[in-house]
Amino acid sequence: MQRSRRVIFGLSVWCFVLLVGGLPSVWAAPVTTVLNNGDPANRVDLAILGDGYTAAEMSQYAMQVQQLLQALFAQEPFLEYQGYFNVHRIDVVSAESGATHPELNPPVFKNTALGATYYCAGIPQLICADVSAALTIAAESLSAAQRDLVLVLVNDPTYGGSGGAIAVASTHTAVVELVLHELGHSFGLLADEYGGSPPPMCDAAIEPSEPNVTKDLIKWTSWIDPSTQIPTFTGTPGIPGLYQGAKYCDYSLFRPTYNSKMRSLGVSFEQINREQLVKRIYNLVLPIDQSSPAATAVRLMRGQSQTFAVATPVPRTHALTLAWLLDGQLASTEAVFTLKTLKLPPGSHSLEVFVYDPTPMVRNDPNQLLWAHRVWTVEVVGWLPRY
Amino acid sequence: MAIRGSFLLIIIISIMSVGAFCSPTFAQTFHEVRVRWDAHPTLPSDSLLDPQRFRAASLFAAVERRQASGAIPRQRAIELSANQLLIIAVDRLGRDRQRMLLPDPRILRAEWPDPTGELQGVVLHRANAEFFVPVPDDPAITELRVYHPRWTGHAFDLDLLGTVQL
Repeated sequence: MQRSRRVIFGLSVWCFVLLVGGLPSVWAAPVTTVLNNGDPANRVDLAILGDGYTAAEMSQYAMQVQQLLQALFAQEPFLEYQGYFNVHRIDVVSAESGATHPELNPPVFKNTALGATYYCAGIPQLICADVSAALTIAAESLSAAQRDLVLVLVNDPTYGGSGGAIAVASTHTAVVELVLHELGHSFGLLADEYGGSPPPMCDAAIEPSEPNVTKDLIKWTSWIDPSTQIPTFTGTPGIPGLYQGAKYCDYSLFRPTYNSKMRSLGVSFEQINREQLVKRIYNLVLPIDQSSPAATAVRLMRGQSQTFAVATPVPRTHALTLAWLLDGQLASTEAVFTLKTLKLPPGSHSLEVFVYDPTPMVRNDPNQLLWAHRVWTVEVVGWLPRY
Repeated sequence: MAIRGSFLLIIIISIMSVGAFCSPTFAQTFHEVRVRWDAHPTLPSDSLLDPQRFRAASLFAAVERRQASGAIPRQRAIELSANQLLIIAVDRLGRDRQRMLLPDPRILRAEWPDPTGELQGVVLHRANAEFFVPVPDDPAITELRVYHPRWTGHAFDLDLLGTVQL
């Protein structure tokens, strides 16, 4: 009787705790923000989860995440726009170290949090992981804005990985190239630029949708020098043109450069893919972080001054261009503008600030993603008393 | 300086017709819906398929709904791709309340380099998948419609894959 009361009491407490949400989720894991460049609402946030790291290997995991990030942000456009990214390391602890290798003799099976397994679908380099578990842990550990991109780092030095809704990478140093290529797909919406025998099937019946491949509509004309022969046959890297072979077709489809990271690993993304990636960064990052005053209508006594300011994200080697327009006239190009009303007639005035990224990496921006704009209405009234 | 100013003015005037850009404040509260998609319910859950040989079923179910913190993720431009899902939250009358693009959770890309570094690969689909949809705290929203953008050669058609009742 006494025991059953205790059980009922225990259950009641347990239910109460669950109801009020007092227990941490079983899925949540400790998070360290290893790259913090601002509010996740206006940054591209990468969440990294480890798999096959035991509790004793957490410092090794932290070091390998740093190595991965150094390599990832060493390449353009991620190098120039590193300040537009946050990176969160989620410390997922596995029962066993490493990953499953069913292809070995004897097979090696590891009990890990995300079940990373080589030789997935019979492909030696393909690592499959439990995507649902990875997304759930990320969702329980980070806010939605902190997981624009999700990557699983597998504690195994054998070359391998995969792409898709989440990227999976082993700790092999060359795998960062594969991660960058997969980001080209999942983040940049870029097509593969390689040809080759199927699968996947070559489909050259229609114009492809992606910005870096074409059938008969060159989408990157602004990058092609007038002296470049079309189609283009040079093997010189970094010369935009029209090169035969793309998106699993050896013929009929064309790519913009002789080689690029969407065709081969170990080379640059090149101009057309870099442009697309920069625009995709700006799809999540507005060029204005903050503006002040927050109110869009400001009332000032004539003679009074008011400071207006904008804060912007900061690329590595260049600054964003600012322009303040007072009643349509250029008034300043600084980040802070002090409006002096002494010479302004009473009445309503318009103050606008335009922010623009003049990067040479982008020549086509039809959605004006590299621009941002704020406007204030300034009402100037009466006079300040003079003493 | 004058040239720079004139240049700026020309650029600015040329885009003034665009109107308002996105707001810097994203104060809207929201929740996240975890959706399970049984695209091939007759197959083992860990199956990987050739997407060109199998047609996906439309079995979507909301398996979890929880309040979210922080700002609702936003995309400044809707850029469609066949590798994404377009989720449209609608009200009782089918009116569009919110749009969100997510990566297609079925896709698994296997790519590897040959000795020269040139890639080759295959694209597979998972038999089932889960994904999280951020949904504004809007009591009018009753349903999520899941679309797959299909490229026709000059535009995207939206194929309705299924719905999720909220």
